[in-house]
Amino acid sequence: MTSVELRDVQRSVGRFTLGPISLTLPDSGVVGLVGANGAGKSTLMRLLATIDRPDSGTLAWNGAVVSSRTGRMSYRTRLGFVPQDVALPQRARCDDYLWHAAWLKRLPAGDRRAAVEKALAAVSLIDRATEKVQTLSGGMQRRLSLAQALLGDPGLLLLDEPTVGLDPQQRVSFRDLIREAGRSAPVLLATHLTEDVRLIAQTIVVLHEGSVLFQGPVAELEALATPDAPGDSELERGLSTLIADTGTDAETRGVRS
Amino acid sequence: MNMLRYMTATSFSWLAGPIAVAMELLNYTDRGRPWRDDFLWAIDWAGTGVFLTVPVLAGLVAADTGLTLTQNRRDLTLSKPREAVALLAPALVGFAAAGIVHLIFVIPYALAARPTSENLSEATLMLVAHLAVLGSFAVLGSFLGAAVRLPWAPVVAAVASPVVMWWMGRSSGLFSPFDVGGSTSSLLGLTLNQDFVLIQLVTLAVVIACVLLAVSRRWPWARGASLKVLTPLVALAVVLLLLQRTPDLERLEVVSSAPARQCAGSEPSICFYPEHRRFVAEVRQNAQRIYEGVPREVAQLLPTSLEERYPGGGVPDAPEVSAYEVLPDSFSSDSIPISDTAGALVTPWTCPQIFGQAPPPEKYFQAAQLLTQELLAAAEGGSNFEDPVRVQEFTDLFNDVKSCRIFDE
Repeated sequence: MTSVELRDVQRSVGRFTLGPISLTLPDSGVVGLVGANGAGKSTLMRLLATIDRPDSGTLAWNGAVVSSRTGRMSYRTRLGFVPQDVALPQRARCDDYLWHAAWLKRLPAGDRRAAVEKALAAVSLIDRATEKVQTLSGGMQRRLSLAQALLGDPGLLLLDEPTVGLDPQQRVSFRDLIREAGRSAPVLLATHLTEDVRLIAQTIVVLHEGSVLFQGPVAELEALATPDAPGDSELERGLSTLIADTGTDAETRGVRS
Repeated sequence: MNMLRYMTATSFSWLAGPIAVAMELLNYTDRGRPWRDDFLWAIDWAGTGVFLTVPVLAGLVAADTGLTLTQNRRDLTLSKPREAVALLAPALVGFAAAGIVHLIFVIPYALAARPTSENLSEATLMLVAHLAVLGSFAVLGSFLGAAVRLPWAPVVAAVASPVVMWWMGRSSGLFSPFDVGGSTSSLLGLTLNQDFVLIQLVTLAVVIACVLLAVSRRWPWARGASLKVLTPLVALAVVLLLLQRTPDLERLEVVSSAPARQCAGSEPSICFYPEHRRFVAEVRQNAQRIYEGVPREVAQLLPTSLEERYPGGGVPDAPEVSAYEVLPDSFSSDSIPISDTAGALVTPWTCPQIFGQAPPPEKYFQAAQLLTQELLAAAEGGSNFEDPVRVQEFTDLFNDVKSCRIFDE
């Protein structure tokens, strides 16, 4: 059973148009969403997070179209979202911040304490629960932002550039967290760091100028790589090949439904 | 506890509470003092506290709303099921903080001012209107926070609020939805126009509902114009414009039947309204000093009774009765000067010229001032009344004034 599905979704923001695209996320596992700056990754994430509504097309959750207010609210309670460059309230305590996030997410009052502790434990910040956010390092703050997304065992995790700005060690630790989260729910990881995708994603979606160029297993994209394509890894070379072929036969070759 | 701690650590709206305390204290120590028994006025004056609090409230709410909608915070909020509540939370918190403080101040003061069963419902309506105005400006802050954003939203809200409140709260002859009172003089003889308050409450409810709708669904053009949002806003503008053309709707109206006075003493007897009973002893003492300081011939000219009147109220129709108006300066102080009493004694209340459209001639004011000064001098024991000629001059001038001849060309 598929969890999330976009059907012929289109969204225009100024002169940029995303789609129409159709996309299906699996029940679990990490899906990498890659593309150059301006490809439409954040626009797609905002559509999936129901912050913006599509100009046309539909978003479906477990087979039901998310259109009514009730449907949207129900979908959001099962959604975990880490936006790009999220700013955390520096003067709040970590547990208070998560408590507030749990309230925003409509978690029942009786379940909030346990949910907060579980989320803090999942990102290894349980011992910093009562400390203020401003005392945390940049990497810890990223983990805290992930913790708010993990509250209430989400059915879908949307992570928009979560590892940008982290040092190599923090990135390794963060990848482990994302990999772990992907065992119980689908994770859509938007990033321009193909290394992250190569190491933790099972499938990959490539966006280019508002269109899906490729959707399929990571290995399949790697297989597209030509020896002379630029890149430090098979995945990067595969991606370069795909982008270079855009306008020729890329769409018919790469796009998987 | 977690939520309270989070709110105080990360937001500003709750500061409307402590700041409202300062504003209410400022207000009550300025002219407040409702233990003076004037119940309706005490509630009306409390409206000034609302006026003082409103800019701060709107500014704080605008700051918080703007903060929620900053680029790197808004997506996290807008993707949550409680998105709408989160966007409106600053307005709700600010309104609750300021509103509770207002009630905490007004209710004990109102009780100290001896409410009666007749004016309790008027006072309740006044208080509801105060809260509605606070709510309106809380949502205005919310609206500006969403529309203007940081860093200018709080500044715009704090500056715009008093301007809007003054413009639409004090205008004469036009419907004033933000009129919350704040009269500096007694409201004796006046009553709250309940039609005004009901229309005021409906108008403010429409304003609040429209803004809440607009803000909770986010600023319409942020997501593309939404008729659901724009239609009520346009309707609101039309309603407000129509109401602006309702010139006869005044917040206060003259009572249909004059309230009864209570009299004390004799020669002269002092008759005041119960709400101003605090003045009686001092006025009586002032009158006695004057009456005892003047010679018998002069004392015989003076009224035998002093009856309080309120602006717009009736005047005595007999020359032996003098009216007495408690002037705003005296009303707001703890003492009533003897000069007010002397002035009341020489005022020709039965002469229509002093209530006419045209101001009385200068010679009347000169005569009234001269007579008042003579009475004051007599009360202080330094009069010229030992000279019979001076007594005759005073008597002639007094008769000219009291008989209205002073107004003749």
